[in-house]
Amino acid sequence: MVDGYEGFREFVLARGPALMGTAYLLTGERHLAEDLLQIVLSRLAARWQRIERDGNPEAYARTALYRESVSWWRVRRNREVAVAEIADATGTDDFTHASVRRLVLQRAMARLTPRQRAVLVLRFYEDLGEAETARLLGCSAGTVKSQTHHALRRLRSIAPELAELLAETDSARSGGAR
Amino acid sequence: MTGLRETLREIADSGPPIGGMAERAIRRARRRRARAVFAPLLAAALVTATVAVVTLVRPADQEAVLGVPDQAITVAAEPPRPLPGGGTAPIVLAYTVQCDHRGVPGCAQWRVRTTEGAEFRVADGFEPDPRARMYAHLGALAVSPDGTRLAYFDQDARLAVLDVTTGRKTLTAFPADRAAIGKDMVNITWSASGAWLSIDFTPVYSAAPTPRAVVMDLAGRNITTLDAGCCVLGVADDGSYPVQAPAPPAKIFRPSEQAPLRMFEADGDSHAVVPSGAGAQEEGYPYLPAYARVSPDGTRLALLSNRGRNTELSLIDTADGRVGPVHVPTQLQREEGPPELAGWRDAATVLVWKRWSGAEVYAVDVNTALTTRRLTFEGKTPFRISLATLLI
Repeated sequence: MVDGYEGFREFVLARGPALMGTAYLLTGERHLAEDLLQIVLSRLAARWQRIERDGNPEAYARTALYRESVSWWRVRRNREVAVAEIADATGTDDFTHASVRRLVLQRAMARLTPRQRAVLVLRFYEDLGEAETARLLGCSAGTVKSQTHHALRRLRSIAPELAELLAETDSARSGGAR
Repeated sequence: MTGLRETLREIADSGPPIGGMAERAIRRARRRRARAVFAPLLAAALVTATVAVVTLVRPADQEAVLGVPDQAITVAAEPPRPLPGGGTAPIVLAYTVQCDHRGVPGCAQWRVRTTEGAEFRVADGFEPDPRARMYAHLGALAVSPDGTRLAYFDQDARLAVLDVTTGRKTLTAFPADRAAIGKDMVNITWSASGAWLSIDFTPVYSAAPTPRAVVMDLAGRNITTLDAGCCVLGVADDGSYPVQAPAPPAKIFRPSEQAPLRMFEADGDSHAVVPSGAGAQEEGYPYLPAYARVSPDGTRLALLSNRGRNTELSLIDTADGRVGPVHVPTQLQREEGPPELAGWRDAATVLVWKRWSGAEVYAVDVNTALTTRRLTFEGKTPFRISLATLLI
């Protein structure tokens, strides 16, 4: 089918799963991740010819993903319809177990603000420096620094068992002003 | 110690599949472009037609709130035109309705809706007699998870698989039984991978003997015929399937008489038994594919059941019968009509739908209980639906 969107389809096929992973980290919910990425991809498709000419659709998509996630509360407030009590799916106290560690981190991150989550994902998942993180989020490096500090402090407060996992962030932050 | 980055990567890797997002984004972009082209004309029209403006703008507001613009589906009273022979876009859903005028040809046949929004009826599909009791529940059709194929009984009651993108129809080795198909509810379910089919004959409305249920792979290498007509609750990607065995007596709506569930491997060996009553099933619905469905990996069974006036969604471990987290999505309470399962969309999401003066489809995250409305049917009420689960 030749309709001008062949490149877009190829891009989503190749990079969609990675973008979805990032969206999932940013929202913490599967449906919200899908909706967030759907909004970003729709914008991408609407401007595809220009973005394809510029040659870096992934950069556009990632920037849109992070910025949209920060203002996500507006959509989220209207999207969720019913949440029952979340059952404890861990069934074990063994924090060395990868699935338990993952679940604890996921739940703790869900209690951060969208901007704090975005900063953590950019700094410690995308491995970006403070300057690049600030550019992507459209804020100052000082804001990134303070948001990172508050986010990590809140994670340690919510889930003390994450302390060891978060220890490495101290060294990353000290050399993070790239 | 596994690092923070590695743990974040593991979380990212467990995110949902990308599904049909590219096509949805393209459709939305096209609509946006069309709106941009006609905006000046519309602006002029808006000055002189304020009432029309309100009507036109309201759907756009809803899109912004819901985030998914193609949710609302209007069900027409008249049957749509037949599915073209040369192929169409993938099918996102299929449904049946009750006829307004029973003499209209094709009114009792399954209707399908493509990803581009076009509607057709499956004209060579089995057409129940509209004079029959509960005729809108008869016949059977299932959309493959990716929407490219339809499995259904044709007019000669042969089980066919139609590739909708090419229009190529393939007949399976399943034996025909026109009388049985026209008399009681038949359920066809796809495995998540689209490689397996299960055909279940549930004696809901009639005590007459039914054909025996079948689990088959589309390559034709494995066809297992069960001892009874019901109740195969879907088939997993490895060909394993849960069955209520021994089968209950005819006319199955007798929950108190339920037998336990057994999990069978693709080769027919039984390997696990789920005790009767698991998931408070004794209070509620029988083991039917509309209320219980196996997960893509075969490890869990999603089960709708009753507790008082509430509907509950339970997860049962198919290896040991242990009941997992139980969620009570308030949107799915049954005072407006009992919800039904439409299948698993992926390893963490179950699709549930309910009908009552229209219908709604919800996605329920089985890990968090977050319930999100995905589709709304307006106009006539659909009686049975089948979803391309990966496209919802």
